Amino acid sequence: MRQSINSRAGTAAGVKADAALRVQDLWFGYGRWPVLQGVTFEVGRGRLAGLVGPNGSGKSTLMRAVLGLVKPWRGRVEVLGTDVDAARPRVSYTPQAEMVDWSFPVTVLDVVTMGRYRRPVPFRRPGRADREQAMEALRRVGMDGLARRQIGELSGGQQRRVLIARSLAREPALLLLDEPMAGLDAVAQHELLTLFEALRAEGCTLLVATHDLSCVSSRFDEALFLNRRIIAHGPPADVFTAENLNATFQHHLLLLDVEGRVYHAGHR
Amino acid sequence: MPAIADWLVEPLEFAFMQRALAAVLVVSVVSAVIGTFVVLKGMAFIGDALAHASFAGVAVAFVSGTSIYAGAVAAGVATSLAIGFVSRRTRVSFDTAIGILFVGAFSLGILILSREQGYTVDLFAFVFGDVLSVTPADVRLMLLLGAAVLLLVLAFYRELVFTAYDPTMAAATGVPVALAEYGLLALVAVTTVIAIKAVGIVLVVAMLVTPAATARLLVRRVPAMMAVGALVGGASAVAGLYLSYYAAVASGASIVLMATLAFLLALLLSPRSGLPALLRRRLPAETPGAEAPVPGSIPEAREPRRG
Repeated sequence: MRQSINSRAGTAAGVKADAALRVQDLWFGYGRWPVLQGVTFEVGRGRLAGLVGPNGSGKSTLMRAVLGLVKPWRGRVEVLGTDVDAARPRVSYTPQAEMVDWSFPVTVLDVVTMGRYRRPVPFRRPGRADREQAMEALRRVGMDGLARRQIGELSGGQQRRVLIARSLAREPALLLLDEPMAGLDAVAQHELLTLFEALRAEGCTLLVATHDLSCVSSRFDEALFLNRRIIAHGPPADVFTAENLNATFQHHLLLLDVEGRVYHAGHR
Repeated sequence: MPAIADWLVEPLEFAFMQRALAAVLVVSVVSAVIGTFVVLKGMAFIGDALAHASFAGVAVAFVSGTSIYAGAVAAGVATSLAIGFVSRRTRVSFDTAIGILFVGAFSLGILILSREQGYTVDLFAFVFGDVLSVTPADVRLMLLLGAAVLLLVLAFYRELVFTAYDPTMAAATGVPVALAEYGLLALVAVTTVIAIKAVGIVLVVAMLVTPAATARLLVRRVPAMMAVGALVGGASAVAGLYLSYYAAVASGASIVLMATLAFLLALLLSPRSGLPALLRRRLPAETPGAEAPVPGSIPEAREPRRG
C-alpha cells in the first residue's frame, strides 16, 4: 500500500496513496475573473516539484489557495493527508522577497523565530528551543553570522536566505516557495538547490514556483506547467516538450536548452 | 538648586496637578505601546478617525448623564469594527471607509451636543482636552482601561507583531490575522478614549503617533520602540504640563508641542537617519582630494536597499 517515499522514478500517479499535497478541481479568482480554472494535481511525499508558468498564470495564487489564505470558489485541497489548518504546523511558506516589508524594526533572528509560531497561546514567548532551532536554520543558509542584524541592512540575496531560514525553522514536512531563486547569482542558486536536495533527503516535500526552467529540468523530480490550469505534470524529461511549453507560455517568447535539445516557443 | 526644586515641586502641591500628572503619564505609556503599531502599520489616519468617532459616544453619554468613557469606548470600538468590516467586505477602500465613517460619527456627536445649553464650553473641552479638570474617578478609569490595553498587548504580543509585520506570512503560520487586525483597531479605539481627557479629540493622534515615530528614529526593535516611545511621551507630557502651568497656556496643545519638539530633535540628531548620518554620507564626496571615480570604471557594486 505505502509507496517508497524517495522513489524519484515514480510518476505523480504512482504515489497516490502517500501524497503530500493533493489538489482537486480548484477554482479561484479575484472579482469575477477566474485565475485558477479547475487545477488538479498531486505531489508525492519527499518530492522536489517545480511550478512553472508565465506571469499571471496563477502560481502565487495557487500557493495562497493551498495555504488557505484565500477561499477557493470550488475544489478540494488536502495537505499531508488532512486539511490545511490541521497540517499548518508542518507546512512552511516562503513568499516572494518583494512582498515583505524590509523596513520593519526586527532583527534577522526575530524574523526567523517567527517561523516557529504554531497557534495562539496567550502570554507565550519563543523559548530556548525555538531560538536554537532558528539559529540552526540560519546556519543552514549560511546566515548565522548576521542573526543580530536589522533586516533592512541585508542585501537582496541575504533577504531571500532569511525568508528561507524562517521556513526551515518550522521543521516543515511540506515547503512552498514562491520564486526563491529570483535575483540570485549562479553560486547562490547552486547552494539553494543543494539545500533543497538535502531537505528532500530528509523526507521534506518541496513545491517551488520559479521562472528558471533549466533548473527545473535538470535538478527537480517533477515539473508542473501551470497556466490557469495544469497543462502538464510529470518528470521533467517527459513534460519538457515544445508542445507543452507552447501551451503554457503561449505568446511569451521562450528559448530553452534542455540537455542539448533546444526548445522554441511563441510565435514571432 | 533649591530654586529649581521649588519650581518643580510647587505645582504638585495642587491636587489637580497631581491628578493631571498621573493622567498624562498613563496616556503616554499606553499611547506609545499602541502607537508603535499605529506607526508601523501606517494607521495614523485611523487613530485620528477613531478619536473623532468616539465623540458621538461622548455626546450621547454626556447628554444622558452616563459615563462619557463608556460612551466613548462603545462608539470608538463600534466605529473601528465598522471600518474593518466595510473595507474587508465591500469595494470601499480602507481610507475612504475611515473618511466617511469618522466624519459621520463626529457630526452626530456635534448634533447631539448642540441641543445642550452652553454647549461650546463642553465641546471645547472634548475637542482640545482639559487635563487639569480630570477627577479622581477619571484617573482611576484611565488606569483601569490602560492596564487592560497593556495586558492584552502583552498576552497577544506575538500575534499583533506578526500581523503588523506581514499579514500573509502570519496567516500562513497560523496566526488568526483577522482577529488580530480587528483587535488592534479596538485597542486603538480604547487608547484614543483614554487620551481624550488629556489632550482632546483633535490632538489624540499626536500622542499615538509622535512619541512612537520619535522612537522609530532612535531604536531598531519593536519592544525598544515601545519603551523609548513611552519615555519620550512621558517626558513631553510632564514638560508640557509644567509649561501649561507656568505660561498659563492650554495643556493639551503644550504637551503635543513638546512631543513635536522631541520628534524634530530626534530627526536632527538620530545617528541613523538624522543630520549626523546625512553629513557622514555627504562628506567624503565633498572633501577635496577625495578619490574621484575613474571615468569609465564600474563603481563598487552596491546591493539595492529597499524600504
